[in-house]
Amino acid sequence: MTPAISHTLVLAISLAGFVCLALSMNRHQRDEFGRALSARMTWWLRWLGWVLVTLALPVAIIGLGTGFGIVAWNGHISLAATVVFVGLLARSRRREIKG
Amino acid sequence: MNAKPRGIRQTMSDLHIWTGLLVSWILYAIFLTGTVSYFRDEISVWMRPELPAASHPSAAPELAQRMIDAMSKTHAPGGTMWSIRLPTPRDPTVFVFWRDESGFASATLDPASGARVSARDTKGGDFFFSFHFNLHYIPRLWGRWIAGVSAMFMLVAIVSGVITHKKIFTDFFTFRWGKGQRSWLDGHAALSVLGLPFHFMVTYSGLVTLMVLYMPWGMQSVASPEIQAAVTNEIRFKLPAPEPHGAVTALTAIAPLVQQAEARWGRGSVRSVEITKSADNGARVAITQAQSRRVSTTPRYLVFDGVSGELVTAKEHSGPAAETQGVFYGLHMGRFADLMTRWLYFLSSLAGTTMIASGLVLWTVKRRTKLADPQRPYFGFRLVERLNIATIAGLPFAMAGMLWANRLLPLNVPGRAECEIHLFFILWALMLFHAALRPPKRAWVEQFLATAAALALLPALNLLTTTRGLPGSLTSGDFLFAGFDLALLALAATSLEIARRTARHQPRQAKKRRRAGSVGEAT
Amino acid sequence: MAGSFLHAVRAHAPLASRIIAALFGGYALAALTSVATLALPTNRIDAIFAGMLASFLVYTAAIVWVFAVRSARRAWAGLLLAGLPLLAACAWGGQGLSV
Repeated sequence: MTPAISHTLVLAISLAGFVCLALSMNRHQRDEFGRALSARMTWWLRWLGWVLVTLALPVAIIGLGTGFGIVAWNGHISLAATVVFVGLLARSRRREIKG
Repeated sequence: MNAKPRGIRQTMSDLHIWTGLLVSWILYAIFLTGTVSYFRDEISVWMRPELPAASHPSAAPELAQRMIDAMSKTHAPGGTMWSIRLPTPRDPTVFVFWRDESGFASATLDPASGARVSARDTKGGDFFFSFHFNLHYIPRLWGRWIAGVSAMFMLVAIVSGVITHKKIFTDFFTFRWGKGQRSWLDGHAALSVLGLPFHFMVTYSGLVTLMVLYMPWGMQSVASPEIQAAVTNEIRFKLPAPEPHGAVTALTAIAPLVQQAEARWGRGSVRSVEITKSADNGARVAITQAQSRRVSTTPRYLVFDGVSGELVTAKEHSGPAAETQGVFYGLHMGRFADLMTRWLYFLSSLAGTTMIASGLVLWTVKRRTKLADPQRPYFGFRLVERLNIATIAGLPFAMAGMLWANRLLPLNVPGRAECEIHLFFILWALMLFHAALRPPKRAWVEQFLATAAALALLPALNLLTTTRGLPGSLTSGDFLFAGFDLALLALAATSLEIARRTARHQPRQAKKRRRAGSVGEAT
Repeated sequence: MAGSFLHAVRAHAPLASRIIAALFGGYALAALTSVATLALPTNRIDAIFAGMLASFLVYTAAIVWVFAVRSARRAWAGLLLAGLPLLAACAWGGQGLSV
């Protein structure tokens, strides 16, 4: 894996993870789907979210080396969480203006 | 205070607010200049556009030999100490410094010829880096202590902030729009939580970088100078100082020594070669490893006998605590970071800067609603508000202004590098005057507009005053110049957006139809 | 005049006391920590680094402690209590220094 591919992969996995984590929250389920998801589904989403975010770490370490991988993973999960945060914000804002 | 004990969250909240407020202006300046310092080398190159675009320098052994020859023949024939920093992909030049009978001197050399490169006199990105812990116009030691105290306050603010707002971890995907103080609090909390590992790391490791200054007691209680030297050598390696007289003579060939180092550590792993005259009238050659190899900065080096070329010392291990120090030091500096990681560093650090700014603004937002007479706030409130403007909006303007000075100051001005720096501070002082004289909301909008304009026009100025303008750099693949100009434009757009939102913002008292998400509320 | 001044002093004394405890008491505790680690069974260089590294965390904890407890007196008592074992460790660690 080249560093560029590793970085992209780590960021993509972290993004998917945080999307799952956000959707496992009641408020965002109602915002995005109009209703709360079942407890079972919510549990799966949260579980999947944590697994993905955690999984990004070994991917980073394999691709970039132990030290560099841990640092990059930290940066990528912060960036991914920010992107999801801003994305949710923008969507709810758009709904607010439309509605 | 003994009379009515308050909850832990209330006391921690007070501690957070007051430790934060007291040092936030200086912290903001330290964070912002520190943030851009992650691109210190790139800024230095951009500020010396005469330098040739990054080339592919020859292999390290030959290059080092060529520089040593140039030093002994031309630049410093009488030197008792020579130090040569090899070029990196981020910095295409060779930096050398030496010591001879008249003291220390330094120069920037062309890696191909060993001749001095003629570039404009500027401190480049080194100024922002140095300012972020030495400050300026005051003795370095004072600056470092001020930075240290600020970092300690920041550490306390981080811990007390986390204790106060434990809940932000569970609902940090939440942001309430257009709710005035609540929105500011949500924004401040989101910036804090999203970058928390970075904020803590960078603050603590900032203290670590200067801990021998701040906490010398352990070292001082050990009387042995050897142990003290061993401690400082785990932070930054220096060959013992040379004898005061007599030049280095009869030096062995350097290329084979560099070759040996590369054989041990890998190609492209050598950062610098340092040669000193040793006590026994011979010489010592130290070869140090590049910091792009590992996170930790504990020095890795080989010391050779300068006459026979024999390996004297190989330092390739450190104890666990010394290594921990090196890891934190390395994490702070981020010298190992590849381009992507460097950008992550930059963004995290920018988030930290914004977190500090939002905290400062939150202080005024929270108190404005409680003002007895909003038209005439009390002195402390006005002071905080004006300082906020001059710091948060004024500093980026002054920084952009320094880049303007870099392009516009005539090349033959004596003390040109210092002039750039004076102009930076003059512009910053003007922003303080402006903030003190104008109505606050106007001042916010005008300063952010000025920053946006200063940043947006820099690529144009660069196009007019150098041969490395944006169209050319884009088409010729001059990534550093192209990236720098594009980054300036992106920052200009951000400033403009902040100015626009601030201008449209209606203060909360007006109820209904309000818009938040902007900096500063008007009087 | 004098009465109101004394009153003001009495009203602010506990807070001033805490601030002094936090800034200087905390630093003293951190400095003691940085010397106490010389008692650790490791080489001098590592012991010195361990001390410097730990000192800033101790300082932070001390400041938070000083403001978290119920009274200024308790804050000082806590600092002194924490300082005693450190002082003992300093004496212990210092024994080998002259050798």
